[in-house]
Amino acid sequence: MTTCAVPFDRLNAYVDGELLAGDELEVRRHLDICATCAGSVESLLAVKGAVAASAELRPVPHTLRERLAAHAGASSHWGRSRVARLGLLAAGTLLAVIIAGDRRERLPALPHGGSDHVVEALVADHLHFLQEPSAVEIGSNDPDRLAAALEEKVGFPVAIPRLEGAALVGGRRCSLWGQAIALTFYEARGKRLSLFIADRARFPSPVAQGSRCTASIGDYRVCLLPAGDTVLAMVGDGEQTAAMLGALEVAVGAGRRREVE
Amino acid sequence: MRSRQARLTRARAHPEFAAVALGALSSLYNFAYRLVGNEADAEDLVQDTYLEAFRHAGQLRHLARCRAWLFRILRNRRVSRERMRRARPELIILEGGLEPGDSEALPRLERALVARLTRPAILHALATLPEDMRTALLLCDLEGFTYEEIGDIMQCPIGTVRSRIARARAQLMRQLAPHAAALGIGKGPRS
Repeated sequence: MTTCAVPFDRLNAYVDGELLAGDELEVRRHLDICATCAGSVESLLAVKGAVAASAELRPVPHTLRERLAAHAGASSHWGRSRVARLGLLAAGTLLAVIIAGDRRERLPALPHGGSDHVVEALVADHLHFLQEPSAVEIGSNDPDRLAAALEEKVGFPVAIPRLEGAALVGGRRCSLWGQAIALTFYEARGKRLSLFIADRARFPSPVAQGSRCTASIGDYRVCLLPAGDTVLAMVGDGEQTAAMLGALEVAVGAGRRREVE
Repeated sequence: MRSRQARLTRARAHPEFAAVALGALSSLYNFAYRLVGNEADAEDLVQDTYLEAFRHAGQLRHLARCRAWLFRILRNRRVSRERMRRARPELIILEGGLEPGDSEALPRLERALVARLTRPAILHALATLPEDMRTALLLCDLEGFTYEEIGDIMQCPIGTVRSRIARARAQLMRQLAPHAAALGIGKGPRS
């Protein structure tokens, strides 16, 4: 800072209400006469507000909540006094309410398959695992063996398509709104392509048959395709998805009806 | 005698502890998600956190500090996992105040207009922050912890917390400036 005596991190602490009363008053007085620092404070408040506004409340997976509640109950045996027993009863009731609340919260299991939230989440997961060195939990180029391994992880039948023009690399379990989903990775046109395989009962498909591709999100696009008891969601860049959608339709024997948003 | 009394006190507090701790589950899970970027890892991290918390519940002296204590455990678990996962040495961020030139180059942004930025743009900018900066910033802006509490959770001095948050915001200003400019809301660098 060349013309101003107030360091940036002090203005930052001021924005967070972390200065002592005397220091805060000093900064406040300074802001009345210094447009530069007043501008910095405005920018800091803008960024602070943007971070707070970016929060999205994801529901806690019911399986996690139930596991933890069960564990909390099991580890409470050492409370033996009457007070403790009464407290335990109260806590149990509270936990039951929490769990019941969560059960209501998870219906329907996922937002509609074509909703912006789902599409954004799929693209976000694709991008996340592009950068994650250990993204591939099960490495295999054999669709049947990979499917068998993934089925054990996600708990529903998985069929992995052979895509002409793309090489299967492997897969992993991931989850969306607390629901297990199989994620398979291919290399197509020199880049990673993600194919999410979800249980159709928990991921209502936007179309009864044929594929449906969403509008681009940045450079990326999501194409949804029902296949048996599952829904496939292919995520890649615009070029990749355009080139590979036909191969995917052929692989799953889907009709040629397509919808593009 | 004193230790027997202490055990009894803790035993009586334990049922309350479970209820209070699980009351913070949603905050912890969402915070974990913001750190790790996917639901499966967030779920694992939160589960590990609670199992450790239940095991060591007796160490918590004041129930009022339960939430911060859980965040501290979660953060420690996250750091341990990352250390185990990475075969290579961690990137070390040297802490310190902003360099004199840093704040001069910062663009100016207006609150009302920054609110028009898209969520993905903000999330992407957040994702580019080094993890220590992101953690401190999220604990402050999303969870509402004070610098002192954040220092306790991250086990570092308050000065380091202050520096990390200032640096994080400075970096976000630079990251968001092009998006803001595209909307015609940037006002150029601080002069």
